[in-house]
Amino acid sequence: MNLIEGKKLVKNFKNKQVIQGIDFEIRQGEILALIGPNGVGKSTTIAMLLGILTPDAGSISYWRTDYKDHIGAQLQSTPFFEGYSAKENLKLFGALYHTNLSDEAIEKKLTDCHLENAGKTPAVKLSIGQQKRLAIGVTTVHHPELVILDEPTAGLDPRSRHEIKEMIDGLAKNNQTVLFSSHDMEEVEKLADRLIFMNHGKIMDQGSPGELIEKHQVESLEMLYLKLTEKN
Amino acid sequence: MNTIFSLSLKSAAREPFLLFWSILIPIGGTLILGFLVGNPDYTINITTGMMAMGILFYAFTTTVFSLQGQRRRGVYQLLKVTPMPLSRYIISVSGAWTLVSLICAMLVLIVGVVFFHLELSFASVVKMGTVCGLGAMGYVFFSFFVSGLCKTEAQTSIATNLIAMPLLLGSDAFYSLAAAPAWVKTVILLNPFQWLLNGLRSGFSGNNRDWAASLVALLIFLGITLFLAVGSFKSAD
Repeated sequence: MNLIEGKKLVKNFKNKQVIQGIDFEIRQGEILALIGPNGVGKSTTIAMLLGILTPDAGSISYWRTDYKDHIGAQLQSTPFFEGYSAKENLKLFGALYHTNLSDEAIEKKLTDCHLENAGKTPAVKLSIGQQKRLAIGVTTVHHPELVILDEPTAGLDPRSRHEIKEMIDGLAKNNQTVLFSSHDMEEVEKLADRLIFMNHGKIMDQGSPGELIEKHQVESLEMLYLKLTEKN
Repeated sequence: MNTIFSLSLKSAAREPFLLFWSILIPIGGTLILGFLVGNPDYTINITTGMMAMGILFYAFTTTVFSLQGQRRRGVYQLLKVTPMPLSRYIISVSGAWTLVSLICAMLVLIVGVVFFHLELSFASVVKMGTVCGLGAMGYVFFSFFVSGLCKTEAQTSIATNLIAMPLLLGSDAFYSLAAAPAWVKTVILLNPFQWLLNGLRSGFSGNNRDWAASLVALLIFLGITLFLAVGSFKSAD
């Protein structure tokens, strides 16, 4: 079953077509990676899927009408509420998703995010790695069916990246569908069931890592990335 | 909604700007000016002036900074992703901030009552409280609008000063404008801060006609600022 289907999506910014008629779907239970160089329209695509931006043409269909109750999203910036601790942010995001979190549930969530000792720390004062983990925590307070993460590992050190990867893996094991964007091909190769490669606002190719490596006759996704980027 | 309200209240209470600008300064100002002037008839003017100033500094200045930070961090974009209607979130947060403003204003009033023996009836407290609530809510909505105009903290600082100072200085909060030129008196009619003051003073004195006129003016202000606040989110889209 497809959770989301985008058909012939177009988005223009100041007379420049940044998304040029793309078609794709997000299938239930998969980890889907959206990859491509900076500025090719990955975040714009995610923003359209989430309803933050309205497409100028094309359509997006969702698997249920109350889809907002069942999607958790982390945008590129980590928008915590200033003046609120990590615990309070979890509680607040729970309320935004109509989920009343008990103290035990919050503690468990903090443990899942490896933030056991940071519950009382103001969220904006956490390290970048801690903020990224908390961002996934607040994104999933309501056990969404679909989790969308925009560059969850950007700017992180290897340990923090590893922890985020574990969290994404944990979501998949929990039967949650994940869409994430990334530049880290090693991460994509390890995590993703399927990937969509974007460049210049178009989808260059999509498929499983194995399929794409075979199709393009390259050694790795990193080589594929270089090949597809070079072509354009 | 209750969670958002209570968390907003908790977070607001920890805000250092609140303690300084809306509690310490108005209470200190009431005491210092009250004892310095030493005129019992003028004490209510000083107390209400400080109450209104505390409301302006918290419900407008402090909240603009807070909201600008939230907008900058993308909080309102993320809200669009959640099933929580933006209007419900705004009402919860505004309600909490209005309550904080009301409590601050009442603290100043208590200081006035205790130190300068202001005689207050229950009806006066209710009337003054109503005016404080309406005024504070109007300023909170206004802060949503102003925060949408500012991209940086420096711009926010300039904008809040450019708005708050004329409101404060163009009123008779701390000095009489009885001898001011006619055009000044006309311009003052457009100053919502002056209507907040008028409402507090008439609420205290029991002048129901003036109090009702102030309520109407503050309700108009509230309607305009609500319209501007909603518009600021639409234009941000």
